[in-house]
Amino acid sequence: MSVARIPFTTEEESMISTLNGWMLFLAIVHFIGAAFFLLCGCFAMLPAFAVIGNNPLGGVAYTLQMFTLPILGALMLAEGVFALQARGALDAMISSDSADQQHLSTAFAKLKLFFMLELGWFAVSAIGGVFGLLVSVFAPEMAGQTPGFDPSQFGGAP
Amino acid sequence: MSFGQSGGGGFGQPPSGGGGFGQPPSGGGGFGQPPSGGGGFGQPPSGGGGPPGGGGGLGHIPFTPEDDANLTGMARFARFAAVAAIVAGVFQLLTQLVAALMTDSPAAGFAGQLCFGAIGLGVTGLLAFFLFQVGKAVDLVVTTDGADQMHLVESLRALKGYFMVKGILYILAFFLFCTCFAMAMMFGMAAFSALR
Repeated sequence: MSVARIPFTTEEESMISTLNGWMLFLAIVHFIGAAFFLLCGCFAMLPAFAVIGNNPLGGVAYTLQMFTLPILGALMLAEGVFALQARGALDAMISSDSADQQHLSTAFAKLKLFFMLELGWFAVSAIGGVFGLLVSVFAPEMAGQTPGFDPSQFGGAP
Repeated sequence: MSFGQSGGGGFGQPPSGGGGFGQPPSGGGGFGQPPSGGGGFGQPPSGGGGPPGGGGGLGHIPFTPEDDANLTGMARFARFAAVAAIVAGVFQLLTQLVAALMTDSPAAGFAGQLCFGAIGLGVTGLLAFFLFQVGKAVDLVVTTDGADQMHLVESLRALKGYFMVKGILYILAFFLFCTCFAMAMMFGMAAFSALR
């Protein structure tokens, strides 16, 4: 049996509304960022392949570093979708009093998927950092050629 | 199911006197008069059903095993993401430092990259802190039964902090990008006009 109404106070409902606002903002930025990363990844891959002939080790590391960009874009896209779904469930929880627990469970299920992808995002970002390190060591002339801003900057998803 | 507060359910105890039919009178056949008090359930006690008042919130939210698995999984992945965020931040810092050392003027580049990397690592640490808070509060919702709603609100508050920090970072990144773009345009135009 589930609880139809979780008696949140006005302050708590306001806090959840603020959370929903940030989640919506983040989802929109994620969609824009996903498009940016996918485009950057596609455009950066072509010159990266050409570099392999000149400097095999550095070129491969650079290509793999660039290959992480479209992966990050795809992860951002999925994260945005799950953030929107979690936001929808939380919104339904505070706006109605008929199935609060059910909405809450849905929200946490979506957030679980969101954090799963977030983990993947940070992992791919860290892998990109390792390849970046290899590029810095073996092909320093290419180290500053990352298109756009660095995906790992500020330690989180851009 | 319990709500951790008194005043709970909608049905009270049945009044004494119980069932609908009384004992048959001795000596005769058929049915006697039912005793006063009637059958079924009595009136609910004062305080009635619905959520408990007093602002204490629900002590126990009866999550199903599937919900519990989702909550536990979410807490686990939030913690993993926190660790991964810190690792990614450290890798990024190392990459920047190595890249700075490979330049022609390592001393100047090293200080700048170290400063920039340290800020990045600090922000990563803040995000990780919020993620750990989320994980801890959600775990308390699942493992304890005293103040589920309070822990739930704590987890949502930590989530708000996490999403807010990320949102502010996005805004700052956007302004940084715009500033860099504007400066590049200005320098480009200046160089172009100097060439003419």
